[in-house]
Amino acid sequence: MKEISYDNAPWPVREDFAAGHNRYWQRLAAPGNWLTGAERVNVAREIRQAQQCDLCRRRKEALSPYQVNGPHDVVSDLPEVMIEVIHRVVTDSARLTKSWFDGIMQQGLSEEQYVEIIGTLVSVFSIDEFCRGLGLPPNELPEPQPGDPSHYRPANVIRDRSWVSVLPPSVDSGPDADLWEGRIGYVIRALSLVPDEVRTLMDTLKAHYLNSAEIWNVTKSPQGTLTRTQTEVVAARVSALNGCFY
Amino acid sequence: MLRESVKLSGGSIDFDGLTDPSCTEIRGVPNSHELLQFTNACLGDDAAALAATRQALVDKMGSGALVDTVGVISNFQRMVRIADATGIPSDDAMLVMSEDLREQLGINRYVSAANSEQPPFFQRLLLKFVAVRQFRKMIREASKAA
Repeated sequence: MKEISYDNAPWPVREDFAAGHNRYWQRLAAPGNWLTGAERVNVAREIRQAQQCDLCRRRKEALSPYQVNGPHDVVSDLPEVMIEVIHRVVTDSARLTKSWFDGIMQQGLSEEQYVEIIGTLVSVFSIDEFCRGLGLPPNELPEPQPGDPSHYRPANVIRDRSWVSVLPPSVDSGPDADLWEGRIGYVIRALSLVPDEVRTLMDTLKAHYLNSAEIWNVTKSPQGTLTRTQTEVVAARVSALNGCFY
Repeated sequence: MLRESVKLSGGSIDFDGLTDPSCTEIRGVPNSHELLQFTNACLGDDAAALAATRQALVDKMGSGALVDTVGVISNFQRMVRIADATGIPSDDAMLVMSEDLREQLGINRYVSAANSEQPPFFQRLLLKFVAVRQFRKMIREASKAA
């Protein structure tokens, strides 16, 4: 795998970004819990394609995305239902509804596959956006590694108030007890049906923002130059421009 | 989190305009103009605006601030997608704490607001007097302990 490096960026980039992104790229290429390495890398390819997809563009412009039908422009052989999930979440996540999600489940995607797709999607998209923000081309995708998914499903997941099953707010023992470090926001628990997706998220959270334990210390500034208030103002604007209530 | 952060650091900021893309200055936040212009450009598709606001941010705050800001933006680009794609509700205590701010900033009109039902009147009262106080205490303690 070609190592990710930001050494040639026009500005000095903290080393922890490249280190975290490299760890994620390795995980992206390997078989996951519910997807093969090839499927995971194809999710990444479709994330990039979604931003050029004509159907996604027309849906984004429409008053309701559900009024516009047709095939997506694709670059992989992933099943249509996976393509719909990837393209919609990348390009128009603010208008996703519970009925859209139910429709996806009815087309045969499992809840576990769905969560792994979302976990993969958000990590790759975030790293791509990091590059775009710095004026760099996206990193070359890794070669998929052979092997089968582990099909690991935590025993203690519950149906809570989200669309997908999640682990309880605290897990004191068992193979997933490492996930929770103090109080955890729902947005992190949301991926816990596939615990490795939470681990991935936590791994890069520290470089990009704060680690989960530091989030509740509202006077704590992230490493680097921004104050906490400046950081939260930027975060709030990103959420607002995405139309995100949470 | 923003409001609690401002409160505990003893400052004050003007929240009006935080969610309005045409507002590019938040009173009380140093360099908010450069930060918000750049954030707006990052979420748009105008390459020239992105390049210009990137340079303006570097000129005003330095290249370290650019990298840090890009880190935060790219982090929240994923967080919003996790929230939207999994239909998570807002935490009850947070929901009650942010009632006024959500109204003021028009956040209740977002599609994903449907995932967070407003608790009924008596539950809201209970949350206000118990859960919200506990939550604020937890934040105060976490902030003091560090």
